[in-house]
Amino acid sequence: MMVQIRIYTQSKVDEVALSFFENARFLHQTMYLTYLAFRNFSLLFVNPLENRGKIIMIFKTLIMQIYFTANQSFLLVSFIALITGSLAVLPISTGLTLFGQADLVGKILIAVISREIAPLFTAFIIIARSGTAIASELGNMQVNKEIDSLKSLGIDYTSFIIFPRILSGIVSLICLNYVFNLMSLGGAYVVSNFIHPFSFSSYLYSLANYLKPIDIITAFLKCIGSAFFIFSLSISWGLSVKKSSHEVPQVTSRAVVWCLATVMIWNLLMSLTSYFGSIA
Amino acid sequence: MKFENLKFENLSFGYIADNPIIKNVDFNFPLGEIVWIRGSSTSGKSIFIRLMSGAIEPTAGKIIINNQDIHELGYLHYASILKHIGFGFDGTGLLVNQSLENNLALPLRYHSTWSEAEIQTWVHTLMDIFRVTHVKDQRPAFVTQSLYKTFLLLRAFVLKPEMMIFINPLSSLDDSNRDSFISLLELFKKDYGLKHVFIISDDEPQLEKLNPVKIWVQDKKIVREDSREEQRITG
Repeated sequence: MMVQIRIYTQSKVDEVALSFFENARFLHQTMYLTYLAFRNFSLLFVNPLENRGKIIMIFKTLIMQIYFTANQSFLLVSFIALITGSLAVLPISTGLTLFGQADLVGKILIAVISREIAPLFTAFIIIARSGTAIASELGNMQVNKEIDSLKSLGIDYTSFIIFPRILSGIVSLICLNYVFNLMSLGGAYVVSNFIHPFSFSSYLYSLANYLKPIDIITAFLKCIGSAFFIFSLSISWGLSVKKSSHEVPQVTSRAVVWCLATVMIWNLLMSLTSYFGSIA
Repeated sequence: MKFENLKFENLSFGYIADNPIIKNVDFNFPLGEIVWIRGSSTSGKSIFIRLMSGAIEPTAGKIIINNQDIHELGYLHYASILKHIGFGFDGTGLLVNQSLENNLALPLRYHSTWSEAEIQTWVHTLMDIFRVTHVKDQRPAFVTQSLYKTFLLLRAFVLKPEMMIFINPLSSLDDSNRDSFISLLELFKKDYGLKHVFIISDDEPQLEKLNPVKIWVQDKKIVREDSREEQRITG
């Protein structure tokens, strides 16, 4: 059908429209595959005793994936968070001190780092580290016929391969986001003391005073949505490899582009919702 | 699970839409036998194992098992049937990030309620038959092609299936392991409930020892050897 449709494509506008709907179809297929993964996993609990081998294996995979994603990214996230917090606080602290408003450092840091930068930068790190790894891992599994092999063994690859990777990604990104917050706000405190010294307790009080539940909820939703898009798209692109290993780097780079775009759009939507919601 | 029938109904398949490899095939596969599926190298006989394992879907027609079209069952239901079919692929298929022992144990850990000790015992028994226990902790990428092939074959036996489908099972094996494979098939038929065996292969003289029923894939169709002889005589 796509070949027949392409005959009617005559202008650049037509090409853009075709590309848009092809991309929309890919996104739709990705969402459906993710739904199947969660559904098939939950169906295992209809007969938990009979399926205990499957459930145990999936949980073991989940734990290993959390280790690979969260634990192995911990140092990288901490390092980038320290630098980010230190860099962010320099203009903030300098400007506020000039106007005698140094007490507002906490408020600005919460607004900038906790609400916006931490979820976004953590997602970027996960895209670079885990998104690429998962896309290439699944791509290579397709080339080596490992997915076909699992199917032939009666193993449902959606609950065995896809589900643990998505869930572990969500858990890891939420945890790493809080690590990012802690390290960046800690780094910000150290650097801001060079500009306007103040005690750690007053810094903490300032942060706590301006940290609202909406900030925590928004960051939480950003993390869940970002992780969901990153891991489901990376898996989907990896599984799109047909036969040849030369496709693997191609789908990996496409996965990165898609993840970056969807994560940024998601974060923007969540920010707009929380800002307009608080104004309303 | 008991296999009562296995047939293709008006089945067609081709990787390219205008060029089917098999076309409008109606064939009732003989059960309770060792069946040797033969044909030239481009006849498409290897698609049999890929169609049965669910790796590919026919472009038209049905695959019927126990009077049910497997594509109407849904994957999860078909997966419960696949537990009773052992597939011996050729070339690739082992999980590269697992040891060879874990590759054999995986289907048992997933499907069975055996304890880990029972799983290890059974897996080691199978490995001992082919004398490959010494490489059990290695990953597939780090062993020879012959050993890789051995573990691909062993994995097909692990769940003690009622039906087995192999493609070129004897290629890449040394002579002693070829004899071990033939012996293992006979042992499973005698003691472990194996009833239906399909072997897809070009030409393996050692398979004659098994007294197989021969079927041929030719001219986009599937025919039994006796029908083929009739056609040759009358044609």
